[in-house]
Amino acid sequence: MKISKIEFENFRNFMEHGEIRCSTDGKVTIIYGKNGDGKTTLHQLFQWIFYGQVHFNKTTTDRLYNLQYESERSFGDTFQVMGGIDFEHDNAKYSLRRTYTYRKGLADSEKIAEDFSLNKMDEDFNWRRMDRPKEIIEKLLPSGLSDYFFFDGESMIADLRVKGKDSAGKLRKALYSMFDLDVLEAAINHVGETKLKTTVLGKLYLSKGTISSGSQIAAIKTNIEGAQTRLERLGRDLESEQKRKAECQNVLVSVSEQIGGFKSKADYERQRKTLKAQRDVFLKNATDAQAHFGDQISEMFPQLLISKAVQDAKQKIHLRIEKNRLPSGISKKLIAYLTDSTTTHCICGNPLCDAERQHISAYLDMMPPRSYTSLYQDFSKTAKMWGRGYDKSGIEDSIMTVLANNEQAEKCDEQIHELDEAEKKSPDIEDLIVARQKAEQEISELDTHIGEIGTNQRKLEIYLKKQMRDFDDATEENKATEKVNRKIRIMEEVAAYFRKKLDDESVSYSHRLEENIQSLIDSMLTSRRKVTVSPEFAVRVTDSFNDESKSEGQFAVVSFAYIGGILKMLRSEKHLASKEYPLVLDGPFSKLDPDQRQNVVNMIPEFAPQVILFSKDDLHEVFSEENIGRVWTIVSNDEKNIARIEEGHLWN
Amino acid sequence: MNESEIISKMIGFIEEKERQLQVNKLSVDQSRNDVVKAILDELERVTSDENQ
Repeated sequence: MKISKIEFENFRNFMEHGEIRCSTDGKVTIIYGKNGDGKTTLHQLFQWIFYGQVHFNKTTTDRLYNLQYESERSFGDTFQVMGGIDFEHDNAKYSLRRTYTYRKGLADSEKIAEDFSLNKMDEDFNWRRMDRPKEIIEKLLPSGLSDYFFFDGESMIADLRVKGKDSAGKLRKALYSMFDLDVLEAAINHVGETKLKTTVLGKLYLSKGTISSGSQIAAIKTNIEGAQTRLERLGRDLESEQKRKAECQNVLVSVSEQIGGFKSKADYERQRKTLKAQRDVFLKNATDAQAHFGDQISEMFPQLLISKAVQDAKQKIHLRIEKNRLPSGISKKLIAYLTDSTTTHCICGNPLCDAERQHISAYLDMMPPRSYTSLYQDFSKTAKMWGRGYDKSGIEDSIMTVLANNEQAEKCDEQIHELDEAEKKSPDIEDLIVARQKAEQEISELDTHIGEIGTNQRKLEIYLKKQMRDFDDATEENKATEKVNRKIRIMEEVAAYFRKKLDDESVSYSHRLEENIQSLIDSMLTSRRKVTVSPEFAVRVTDSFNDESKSEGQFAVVSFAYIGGILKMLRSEKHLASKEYPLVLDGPFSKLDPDQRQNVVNMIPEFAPQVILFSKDDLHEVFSEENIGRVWTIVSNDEKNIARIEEGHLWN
Repeated sequence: MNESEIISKMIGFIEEKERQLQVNKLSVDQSRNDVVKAILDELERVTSDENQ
């Protein structure tokens, strides 16, 4: 998939209709925007159009309209928010549109309708509306990988750490879809087992009861179906309880971390005191340097003044010498010879007349006397001496010291302000302890319940096995049941084939993915890291101590290597080559140091067929000119509530 | 048609069916019932072909 155009109207701060055309020739599309201009808004627009989901400031919101636009509507008016993406996939053109319709209320506007459509251009260049657009998009661009396709450098790190297992499950599903393993998984689920009544094998098994008659058989069959239904229900209960437990464990970890890093009032006060002391030292240094600067100036005042006067005089004399420049080759001796009354001819051979002699003698007035020349040379020496007569670098050092110390003092003030804000927002320790106790208690209750479900499942399975044995004994061996048993045997062979194929392909794909990620990690990180990918596509990146990466920069690089490894692999596998995905990156380099950033930039063209990049920093020095495609800039008003998009890099 | 031929025929049929399903996704319950029924019908067809 390659995105050729994205358009929008009345989406958050983008009130007017606008569109961004993207490069589809492998070059990077760059969208520049300063802080608060709306880069993340546009980045979220992609996810809203594709999946109908937006997350602003970690919260999901339905109010996507421009607030100023909405304030100008009258009560009862309806208005729309629109987003559209045109893309190419497998040599076909598609156009995707999502629209929310709102009605203006007294206090707020309410969403009253939603439309989501996907059109495909047919061979006659006519657009044809497609059924089930959501499912088609899910297949073309699996939502399980959306955190990677739509990479947000700022929030990605925190989000992925919190999501943990949940995220791993989504990723596995997305990769199964990418590598077509979902087909095998679905086949295994549909063929099923004899004890699962809604599957092929389950239905075949129970059909034996229809062939053989008798009240005993009918009773056993009813028992089996009842047990199967209860087992299915228990399975669903177990799944939801385990999910709830995972949520509680996440809360517990988060609260425990907050308690571990909790700062009391005294801690804040202590930190504030340290910062204030540091600031005062910087301010004192600045004052001292200022005083030193004053001393230097007053001490050197005469030299500075004389030096300035001498420099000015030197300039004037120099100008005068320049102005009275004589023609080259004229000397006093030559003038004396030519103006002598006995000389009748010039050195060029022409005869000399009185008028010419007069003209030549005028040059004498322009020749400085010998004493003047030596005076000028003496003056030049003195001027040079006075010019160097004061300690220029000493004075400059004093000025730099004052500026540097003032800057450091300002930084301390900023940190003190941040500390004040953090203290205002910090939760109460008692609330945290109560939350932790509550989470621990809930986990304990869930554990008990999960244990009970497990016990019930085991009892039911024993009961089901016994009923199935009785059923086998009661369904007499005749020609009809023999035929069903043969079908069961055939389908069990089929199921075994799919299970083996899924195992083999999972191992093979995970192994190749591991190699691809490892090669990218080796290129991006200077320190050695080992990548392991399980057949379930869970990825671990560890150092020589078998610890997982901790720093945000490394975490970001690992995320790049992960999506890079997947995309690189899709490009290298012939039967998967049609599966290509765009990368839409918002502030992707914010956590990387300059070396890591350059390494990532160098690797991106190797794996991504299309890159759309949002940045507040100039990237024209990071990317080489031939790799930069279309460039756009977000232009926002001072209040940062109305923005528009313009082509070109407008800050140049 | 012997048993191993029937097995490979069923494998081919199911793979094709599941692939179609992935392209034209239906709701999960609907697709499950349809696919299970289609597989059982095909199994019935290939095993009764053999008897004739």
